[in-house]
Amino acid sequence: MKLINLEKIKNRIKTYFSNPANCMLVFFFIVFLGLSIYPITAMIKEMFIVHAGIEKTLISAKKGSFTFYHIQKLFTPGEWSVTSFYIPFKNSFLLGFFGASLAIIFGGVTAWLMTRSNLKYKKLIGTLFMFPYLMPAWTLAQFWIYLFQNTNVMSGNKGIVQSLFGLCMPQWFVYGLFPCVIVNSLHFAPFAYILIGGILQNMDATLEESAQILRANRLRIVRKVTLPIVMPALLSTFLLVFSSGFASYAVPVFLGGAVRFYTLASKMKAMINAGYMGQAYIIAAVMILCGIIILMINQRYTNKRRSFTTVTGKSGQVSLVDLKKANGPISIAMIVLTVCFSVVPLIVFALQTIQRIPGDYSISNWTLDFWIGKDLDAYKMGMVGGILVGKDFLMALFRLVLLSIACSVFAGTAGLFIGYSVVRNRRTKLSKMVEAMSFFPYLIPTIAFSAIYLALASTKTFSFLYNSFLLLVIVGGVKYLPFASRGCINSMLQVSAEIEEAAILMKVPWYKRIFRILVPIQKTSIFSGYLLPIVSAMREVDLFALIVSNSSYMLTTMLLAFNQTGYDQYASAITLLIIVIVLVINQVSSKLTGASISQSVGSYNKQ
Amino acid sequence: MKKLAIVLACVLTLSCFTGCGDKAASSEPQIEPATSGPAEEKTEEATDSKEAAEEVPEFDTEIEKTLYEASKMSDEELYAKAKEEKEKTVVYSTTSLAATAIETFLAKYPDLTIEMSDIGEADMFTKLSTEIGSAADGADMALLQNAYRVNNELISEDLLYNYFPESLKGVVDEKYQDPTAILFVSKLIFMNKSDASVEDLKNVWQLTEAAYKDKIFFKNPADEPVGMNFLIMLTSDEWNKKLSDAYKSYFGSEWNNTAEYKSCAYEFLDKFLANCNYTYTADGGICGGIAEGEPGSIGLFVFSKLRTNEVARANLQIAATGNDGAGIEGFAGFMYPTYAQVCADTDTPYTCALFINYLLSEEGGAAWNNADNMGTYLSNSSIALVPDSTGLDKEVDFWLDRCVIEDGEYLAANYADVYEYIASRIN
Repeated sequence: MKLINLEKIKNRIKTYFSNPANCMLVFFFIVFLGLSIYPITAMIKEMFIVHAGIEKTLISAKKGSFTFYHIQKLFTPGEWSVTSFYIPFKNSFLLGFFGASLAIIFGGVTAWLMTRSNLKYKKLIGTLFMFPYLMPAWTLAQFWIYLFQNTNVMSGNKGIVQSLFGLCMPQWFVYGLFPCVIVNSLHFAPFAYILIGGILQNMDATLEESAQILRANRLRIVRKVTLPIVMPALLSTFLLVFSSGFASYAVPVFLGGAVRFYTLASKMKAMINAGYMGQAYIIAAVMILCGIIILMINQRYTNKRRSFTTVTGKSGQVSLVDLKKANGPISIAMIVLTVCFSVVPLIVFALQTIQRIPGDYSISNWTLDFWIGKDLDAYKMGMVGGILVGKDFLMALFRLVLLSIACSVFAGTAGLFIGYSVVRNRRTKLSKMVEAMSFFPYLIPTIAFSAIYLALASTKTFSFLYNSFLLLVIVGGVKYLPFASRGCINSMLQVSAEIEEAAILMKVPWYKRIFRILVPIQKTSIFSGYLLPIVSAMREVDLFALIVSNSSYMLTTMLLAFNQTGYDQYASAITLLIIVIVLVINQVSSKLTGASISQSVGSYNKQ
Repeated sequence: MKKLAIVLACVLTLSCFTGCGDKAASSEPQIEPATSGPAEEKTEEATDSKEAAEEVPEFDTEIEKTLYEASKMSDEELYAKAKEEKEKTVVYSTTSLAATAIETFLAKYPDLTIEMSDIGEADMFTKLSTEIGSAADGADMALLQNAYRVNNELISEDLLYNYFPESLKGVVDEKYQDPTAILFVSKLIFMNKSDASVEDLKNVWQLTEAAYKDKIFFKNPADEPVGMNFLIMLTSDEWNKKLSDAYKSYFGSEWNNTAEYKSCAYEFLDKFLANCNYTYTADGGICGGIAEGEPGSIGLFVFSKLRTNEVARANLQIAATGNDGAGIEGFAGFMYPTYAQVCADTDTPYTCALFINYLLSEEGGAAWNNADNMGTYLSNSSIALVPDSTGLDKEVDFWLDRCVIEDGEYLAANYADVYEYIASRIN
């Protein structure tokens, strides 16, 4: 009897693993389990042990001994916990909440105008509107300061608005929560625009037309028909943007530091600087926990939305709302606004790079030394030595591009197999678990993420990774895997299983089915899944800072060093170069393959 | 999603039991204990014959013993020993000019291989504490700053060892021999004097006045540990006394302990920090910002920023030399040493020792001590300061008299208490 049962089990296992999709699923489950277990165990350990330095002094215990001190200190009500946790938590929450709300308003209104109205210059507005998302968020924060700083607040230096119009904005407008919210919402508005725009474009227009026939006015139609249909997308967008705003680090550092506006991420960094490692890891854990909760809520609403998408179908014809006389002014206003936050920052950064003394805009102060100057040794001292002629700079640029491509290949290819295995096992518990777990790396704060992988590479087993390019690829690839896997899951969902079944009947091997049938069908959206990791890696600063062997190793780590030492011209030149490269990659891939960042982002919400 | 929660919950529970694997096991340096092999016997014999009377200290590790022996060798002897070391030496450095020193070092000692990794201050401690003693092939030595963390996180944990050459004991102040300081960097108080009618800074207590609210630009000490160390040092007896004296001279009466503040320095910190402005995240920004900004603005930043900024040189007054040359009473800024330390798991102790000797020499120090640099001073007092092209700099003793300097011992004993006091005022 036992033998029969064993034989049965053996046969079942054999049958299960004869399907390549199942093998992949099990493989990724094990990989993700490892990718989750290692960081979590490492973090939990750090939360409960005494570290050398200040913690050892405060606790009067041996390094490495077990303690509840960090938890007690951080959460027990008192001055320390209020300034170190509760206020930063509140600030993070407000930044996430208002940032997401405004992003939805900016992005949603633009999406409606672009898909549902006869707005002029749609192509131009659509292209420019994407720029803030392609730029690192902190470049917008820097731009905000250049724009609005004035003699009445903080630094007392004139900004562009004061210089041109004599207008002095109040302090709350220049520094603190308000500008952080605005900058975050501008950065994520394209995200909302793509997600909401996608839904509006695919929405059955006959629903609105029926309401119109029933003589409902435009406002009522929007309120009663359009909004309920896009509501799940709105909520989903809100939660994703909220999550990013909640964990925001660079923007509050630039715009909040002056008025002592701390968020959880900036507080975590300050804790690490002071040697309060235990409390820093607790803050990281709180951020992860909040991310998981947000993700769970998001999943719930995304699931609810499915009922809507089954009711609606793609409309053959969409009747556009005639903006009539308002069309001209609205179109112009949209162009002015998008130019202000897409083209003007680039011009300001370009101007910064040609000023010998920062802040002096007179022509006599202009120089191209920071681009093409030839005294290569002098750049260390903040003098001349241009980034386009320095061998170090060009090598750092080459490494950054190479790393971005490698991360994209890693994340994109793994994402493709995850997408395939998850979709082919759609109804199984394992598939749902792998899908959910693939999002885990996204939730770990960047600084903690790199510290954990640095420690992993220091172990005997993985020491071959230490200071290697491979470690950078793995860290980048794993961190950006959620982008790629989500994109690929969605693109695979759009392909009917019947196509592959026909190939199976023809005894086509699995790899040929993937690479000869599925990939060609969905090549545009799959390529988009590769594009987002490239762009993310190109503009990533904090993730690689700790694990590179040298701060001049890559252009972004070099940028961080220049920012820290205050060599603004070089920092601006590198920033500009990165933004231009990202824009070029996006445009070229859009022209060559039809894939673009807007498709990569859009695929998040198409489930 | 429910599944994710379940999986994570399981993982969390599991992790409580599993710990962290290899890393936990290898968190302490894997250093071979001192053995009594033939090599050691030879060295012992040599030592006995040379200095029979001198008592040789006991060492826990072979590297410590080697460094002790190296400290008594000449450069030629060290070079001969260093040539026998087959491995490449990796130096982590927070100062990018170390690359220049390495270049000239290699020109002098062409048979050696030494490489530099430019590492930011914040990352330096994470990297060193993670990799020393682990399987990672990281640094052999480090040039780093922040007396508190160097002492308390790395030296006291036996992750870094000190090396100081016997031959230089007379020319470097004893307190900078352990840990070995190779140079000092100064951050000074500057004032925008583009309007001559603005009163000079005469006393640090001026900086606590309401008129200076948000007008003192300083890198947020929560983000810059050397700034935090400077503030903590103000509470030491020495600087508390100087602040009390300055208080008396500014307010005309002795400082009274009102129970509100633990000491005069605590009152100064409270009021000074209330006036500080953390708009700028880099010293270059502070320098340019106050130079172009309002007359009367104050900045606390590295002296060297003045060298490349003509406007700053024209508009800013150095508080130490203002007030008709009398300078500011209390303190004129702060200084922090850059330490040279050897990693506990180095494979090249002799090369490290030779390189430290070189850094302490005139030749090696020239990477910092030259006409193109200012605000950086060598710890070797026998080397004269090379005047910089601006003519603004002065000998190190001038600044040491007027600037607060880090003291590792004081910081070790008081850091935790004062840090929380300061942190609550900068948040």
